[in-house]
Amino acid sequence: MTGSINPAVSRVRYGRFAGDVVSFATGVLLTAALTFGVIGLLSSAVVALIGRWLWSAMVVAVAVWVSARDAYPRVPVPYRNVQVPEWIKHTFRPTETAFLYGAHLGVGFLTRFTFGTHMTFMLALPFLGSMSEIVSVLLLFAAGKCVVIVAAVAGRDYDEMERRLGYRLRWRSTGVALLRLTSVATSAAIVFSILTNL
Amino acid sequence: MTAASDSPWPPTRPVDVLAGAAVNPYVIALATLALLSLALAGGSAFAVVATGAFMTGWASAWSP
Repeated sequence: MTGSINPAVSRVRYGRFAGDVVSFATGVLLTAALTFGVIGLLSSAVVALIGRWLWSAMVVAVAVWVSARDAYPRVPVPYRNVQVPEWIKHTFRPTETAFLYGAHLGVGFLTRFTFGTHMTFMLALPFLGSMSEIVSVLLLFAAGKCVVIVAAVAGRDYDEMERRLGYRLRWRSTGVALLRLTSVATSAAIVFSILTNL
Repeated sequence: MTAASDSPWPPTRPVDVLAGAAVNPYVIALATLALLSLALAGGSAFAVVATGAFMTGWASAWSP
């Protein structure tokens, strides 16, 4: 995503790129909302047919499952182990590409598993009190993804971008392990907050 | 993502330092844990879920 939605790749001006970031965020928001729609329907059906306790139990079980994946990468999870298809950026204009990348990533399950927090927060959304809270959470999800794109802007020359991304995304295995632990802690906090009706 | 072996380290340009900090896994982890603590202390399930949503988007820079 960082190497595909970037002014060094699309050759657009920074003002236009800002529009591309908005386009990307819109794509993330729309399909994350769609994913929530499916989860919301499932949640409503489970609560109506059996009871709220079952949905709570399902959230706990899934949070444990994805947290196990955070801790051990061989635990299978229902995410497609692929990136966003490359042909998108070769077929569409930059703003459309940004939107389609966002739309692809916003679903969450069409690309590689990143952190268990994604699944946990999605399943916890039906517990929130209002639609405005749910929309706010989805907006923050999209905003978080935009930080990554904006931080990858490193000039309008491709070589410079690659070199400077080396600075910014310099691999830190210990840091990534800490992120995985943070994901487990976040999932645990989400489960705790919804079960105790904070 | 891989380390750029030809990139001198540490970066010196302010924009690189700032952008690097914005996607640094330690920064993300510490900020997330701080926000989570505040949300739990404030007793807000919304704030906890919102922190998780932002974190999972922000940390996607470190997808495998």
